[in-house]
Amino acid sequence: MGFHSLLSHLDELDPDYAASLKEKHLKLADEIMQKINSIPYEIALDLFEWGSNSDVLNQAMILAYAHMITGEQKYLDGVIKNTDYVFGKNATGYSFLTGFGSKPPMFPHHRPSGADGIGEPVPGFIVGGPNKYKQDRFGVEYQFDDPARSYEDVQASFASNEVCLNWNAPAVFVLGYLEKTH
Amino acid sequence: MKYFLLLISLQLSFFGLMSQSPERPNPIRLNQIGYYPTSAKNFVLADVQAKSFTVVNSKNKRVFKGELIDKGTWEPSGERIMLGNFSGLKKPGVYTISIEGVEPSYQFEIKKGLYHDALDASIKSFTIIY
Repeated sequence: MGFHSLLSHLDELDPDYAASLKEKHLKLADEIMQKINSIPYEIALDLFEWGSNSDVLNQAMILAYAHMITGEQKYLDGVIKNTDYVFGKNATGYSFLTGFGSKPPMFPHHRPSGADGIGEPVPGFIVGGPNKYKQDRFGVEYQFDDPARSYEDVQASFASNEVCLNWNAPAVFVLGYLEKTH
Repeated sequence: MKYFLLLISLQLSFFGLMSQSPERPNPIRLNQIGYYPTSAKNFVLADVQAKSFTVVNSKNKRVFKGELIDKGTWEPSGERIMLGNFSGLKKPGVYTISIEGVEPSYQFEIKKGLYHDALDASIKSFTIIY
């Protein structure tokens, strides 16, 4: 986060430091782009852990900064591809933001949503997403063993269907950036 | 006859529950919100082999035809993945993707302001207890 703040103010930094910061950030962004181009779902993730959707969104945020400081279209395409994944271009078929998409999560691990007497969950939450470690497997029956499909839309699934502030944060950044640039 | 059909359908749903077969999502995996008019537009076809796809507008008219690219099997999902691209379609509207032998995709939109509501809701979630 600190580096991202500095990247937003490159012209106020010592020129040598600004150049090295920019170079290192673009190296990271290029590694992400390379991986996006090598994975069939066009994301830069092949390890699906707790909160994997936030890993995808955080990578999108890194690419958004790369686009902001270079203006290069390829980075913006990368942001779009990661966002496509979150909204349904993924192995589960779910759109991972509550209230949005044709097949959104209906039973997030979010007590107010479960207890309010309304069928739909509170809209606007990114759920964790596929997590191959299935730390909740004693209370949740998973339909698939494949890491990228280890997601269950049930309230008990704290390991794949939890909601969290730090998972929504990159979603806000990325969606805001896309609205601003399109 | 009515009762007979009801009985059959009850039995089918009973066996459906019993067999516990994994629920298969629509094999056409796309951004269910949609795409910006000017953005890259890609989708995945999972575990189905096909050569081409069309994009159909809300008047059921084909407005785009494209080829699918075989990306092979992706180990983390165990699926055989094909990739389709329709970035050339830029006209705002409501569309579905159509592929022979596959149920149609969900409807999606091409429009400006695509994520306006999603952005609003994701910000608003910070005012709600997590």
